[in-house]
Amino acid sequence: MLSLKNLSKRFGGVVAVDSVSLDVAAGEVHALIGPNGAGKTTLIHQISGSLPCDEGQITFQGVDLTKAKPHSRVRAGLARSYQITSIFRRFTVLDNLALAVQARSGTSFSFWKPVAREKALFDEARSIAAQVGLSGKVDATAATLAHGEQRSLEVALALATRPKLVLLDEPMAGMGPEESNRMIGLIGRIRAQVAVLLVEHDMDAVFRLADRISVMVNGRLIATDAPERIRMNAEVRKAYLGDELAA
Amino acid sequence: MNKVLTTGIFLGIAIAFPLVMHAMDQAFYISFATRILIYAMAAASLNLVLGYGGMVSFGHAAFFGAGAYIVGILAFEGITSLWISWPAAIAVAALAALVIGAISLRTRGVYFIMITLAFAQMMYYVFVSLKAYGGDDGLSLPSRSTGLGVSLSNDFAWYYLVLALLIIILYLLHRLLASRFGRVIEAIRENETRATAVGYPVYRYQLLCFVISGAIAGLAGALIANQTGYVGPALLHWVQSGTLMIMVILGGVGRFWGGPVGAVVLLALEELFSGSSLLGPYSLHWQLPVGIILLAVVMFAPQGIAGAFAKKPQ
Repeated sequence: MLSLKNLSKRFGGVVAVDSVSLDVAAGEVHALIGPNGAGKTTLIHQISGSLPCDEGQITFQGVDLTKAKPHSRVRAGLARSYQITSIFRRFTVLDNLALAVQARSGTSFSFWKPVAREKALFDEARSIAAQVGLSGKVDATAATLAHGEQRSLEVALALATRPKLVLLDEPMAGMGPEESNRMIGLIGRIRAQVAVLLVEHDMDAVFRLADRISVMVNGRLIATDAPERIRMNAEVRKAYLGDELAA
Repeated sequence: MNKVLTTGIFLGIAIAFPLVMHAMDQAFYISFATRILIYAMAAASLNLVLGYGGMVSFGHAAFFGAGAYIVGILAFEGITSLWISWPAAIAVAALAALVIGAISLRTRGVYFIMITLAFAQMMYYVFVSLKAYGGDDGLSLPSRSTGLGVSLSNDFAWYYLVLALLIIILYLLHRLLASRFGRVIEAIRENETRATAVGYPVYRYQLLCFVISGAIAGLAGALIANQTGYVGPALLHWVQSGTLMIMVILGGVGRFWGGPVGAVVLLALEELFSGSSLLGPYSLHWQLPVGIILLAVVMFAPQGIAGAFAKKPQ
């Protein structure tokens, strides 16, 4: 579904992403793990189009998106969430989601008809809110939500674009165990409809969710395999997992 | 106070004002009030990009002045029909906004402020050097625009025409802000990165918003040329951009009534302190009391005057 070929990104003399090739299959939860500074978020930025690629090629469902604008990638079905929460803070939860639904339903170069009368937008926004467990908070201003709820909204905004593949950049960042569990449940439920590329440090979540795991160290992919084989992989253990799994 | 009531009160005052002034034998104030209405329109157009779109344009006088000059130049060339000169003013201002916006919107923050300012100053010097149309001295209009069947030299007719246009523009803005387009514009102000990430081509929306705003400023410019019967480079000077910005800040950035309220209050304060009846010989220094009041508003009502009266904080 998503195919990266020899993707590279340099910042001055630093090679942040070094010739990465990776495939994400339809219906798959593909986890991307690696120590801090390995280049995971840079890679996500390249896939979503917020950073240009120095080299390599990105194809999504057979279409070359290497040079596509970020918004056209979203239209093509490639959505993302951010490691640092990025929501419309002064809008209500419902308005946040309705805005995302609006982006893919008809033109928004419409200047006369009040959007408040478009019932379909808000109905769909409500159903997405329900999907991520924010039903009780639809009328709350986004900025007033608790951290975990904001993280859920973050993921919901990506889902509201109705993607075929969603890039989740550390969705559990800063969450307590209970909130993390809820997020794991959510990702487990959406996987039936949408492929997931998951960047996450929470190894419990990664091993519970992932069909395949890719390990990134110093900008390079050192392994891509099924979870149980990643666990056994000597190179991976040495470079990254080591202590955590030996325990 | 509910919205319909507020709007009704404003409208009632605006309609009754010339009649009351006429009855009180203070006809001068009808012309003064017309000037306020025109600035209300210009400030509302700036509030669209600045308050709702989050684009801090420091060059709005360029569009205002361009609209005024088009009417002046066409009148100088013998074309006085408002059916030609006003649409031309709007079109030229929109075109200027398209070009300036297309370049400026590739920058952000302070750079955007500076580049819009720079473009406006460039246009200012273009008109200063336009010797054929008065250069530094500007251009006097032989008469007000024609084409409506009534003489617009009549202060009553002129006032009510400007008021009608202001009402139409405010209604259009009201519809626009509640529409899909308006929501996207505000979303981009709130979080540009996320607006892109849910699939909006941010640049196109911002550019169109900038052009709409420029077009409205152009209409206001066409009106001010008729109001004063004179166009000069000062209309495009950066001080004019600053005045519009002060009106918006005073009235309320991103508040629907921000522009109009700011125009009324600023121009009324200027009138009050620059006339000799209140301060006598000190009225020469009218900027000082006006400045102190501005400072007080910014400190004690950071949401502007319209914001201070609104129930819902934003």
